[in-house]
Amino acid sequence: MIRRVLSWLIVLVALGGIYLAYTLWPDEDLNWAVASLVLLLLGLGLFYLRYERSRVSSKEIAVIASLAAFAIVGRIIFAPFPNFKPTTYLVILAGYVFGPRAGFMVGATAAVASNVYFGQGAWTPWQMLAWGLAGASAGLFGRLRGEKVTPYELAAFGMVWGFLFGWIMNLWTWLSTVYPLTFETWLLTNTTSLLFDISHAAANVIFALLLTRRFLPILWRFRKKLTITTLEVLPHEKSN
Amino acid sequence: MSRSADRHNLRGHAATLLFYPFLMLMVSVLTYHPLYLGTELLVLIFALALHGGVRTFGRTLKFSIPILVLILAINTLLNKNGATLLYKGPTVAILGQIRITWEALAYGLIMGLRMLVFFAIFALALNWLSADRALGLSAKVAKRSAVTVMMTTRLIPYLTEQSHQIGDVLRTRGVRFEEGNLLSRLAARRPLLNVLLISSLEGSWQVAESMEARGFGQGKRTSYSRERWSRIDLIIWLTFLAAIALVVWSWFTAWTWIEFYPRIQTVMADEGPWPTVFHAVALALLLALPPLLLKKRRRTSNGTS
Repeated sequence: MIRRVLSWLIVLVALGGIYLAYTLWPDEDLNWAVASLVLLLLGLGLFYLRYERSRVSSKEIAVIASLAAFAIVGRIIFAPFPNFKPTTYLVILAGYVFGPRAGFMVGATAAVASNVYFGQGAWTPWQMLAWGLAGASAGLFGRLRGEKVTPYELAAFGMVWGFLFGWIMNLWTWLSTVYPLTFETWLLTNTTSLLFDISHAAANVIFALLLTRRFLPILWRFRKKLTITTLEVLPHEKSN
Repeated sequence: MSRSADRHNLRGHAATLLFYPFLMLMVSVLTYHPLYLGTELLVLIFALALHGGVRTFGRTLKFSIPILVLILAINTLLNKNGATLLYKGPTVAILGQIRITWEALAYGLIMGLRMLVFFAIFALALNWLSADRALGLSAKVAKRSAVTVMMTTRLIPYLTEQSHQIGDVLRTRGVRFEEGNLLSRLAARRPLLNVLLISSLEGSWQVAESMEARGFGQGKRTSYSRERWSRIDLIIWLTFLAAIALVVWSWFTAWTWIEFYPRIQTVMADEGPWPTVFHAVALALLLALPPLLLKKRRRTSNGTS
């Protein structure tokens, strides 16, 4: 209950902030550098609050940590291929099987932990958001399609996220250093990373086609193992 | 992890060390007055120099050049709101007629400066606070998330090591990782990933069991290292408050305000440059104080008592 109230409170603060920002600066004069930063932190805060407040079992924490570490180690294993990293696809796969909350956490955790090794920076929170949302949206997609999904569907999903990831990463540069904020300037900001985005999308497609058939059954099996319910302590045992 | 950090020469609570970069970030996104951004960059370079992080910053600068060029190009080429014309060129697809104005050029340059400030802030944060301390601090507010990240960072070297072993086993079984075209080389790594996934998931079960056995989630979290508040922290937090008050004041008196289009306007034109300059300098001095206070005095050989 408290969790729900707090979550809605954050959403209301964000909406109220947007409303106030627009009424105070109606003529496109809103400071987007501040607004985007605040919205980003609120959004990440909302997800983390959900994770903290829900009674996540130690098994779930361990599985999320393992999958996040696995996604990062995938990056190290594929070091000989500079533009083909399975990380995004593995985050999507984890989200697809374990649901939106676990998907977000795998993505966000992978971003923080990999930057502990590869260097933190202004991009870290945006990377957390991008990978987190990739995992969370895959979780929603998983609820929709379940075990019937084909590698081709996940390949298409991964391709979309290859581009979305780049666009989210470019968002802050665009919002905080470019004026005016029009479609043309947005397009030009994104053309500079176009080659990276294309290779990212291609990598997701290739890994989806290569790995899905083998990895999905493994993950489904572990998900089944994860949903073991613990028994309540009986009243007469409690008194001892 | 940044190795150049000289963390032994630093004192202060982790929260203090984290809030300072955050405050700097908020100042740099609140205003784009070049005077404020410029003095902020100077303060940051001073802080980095004081604590031995200039090299880390220098390394990030190499990567930032394309972004700086991009920011300058997009702003000068696409913005047609400026009034002072510098160059008028032919019409190009998407961009329209090339029309470079002084205002757009200045905007692009100042935004480049802002980007440099962002990079310096993160270089400083990295230099001051190790990942362990930052995670330890976040464990106070977000227990489960911090444990998840800590566990992941611990698992990465372990799984990397394991992947080497699995790779060796596969090689002895005749798997050739470096032969064939790109696709077959990618596919050759599939069994490696497969084994690694299963073993890491199985391993997570054992981790979870030992967590349960040690009573994870029961009672208050214990920790080996303890962050301590000192008098220095109190003084620094007072300077933070003073800096925040100064920024709010500058915001309301419009000293931080700058309008680029159609012509560059600041309040400096109306009331002379000095009030703005004084404020920017006062803010810079206030913000330069915490790095100075955090610097640990070196003990002289005869002064160790």
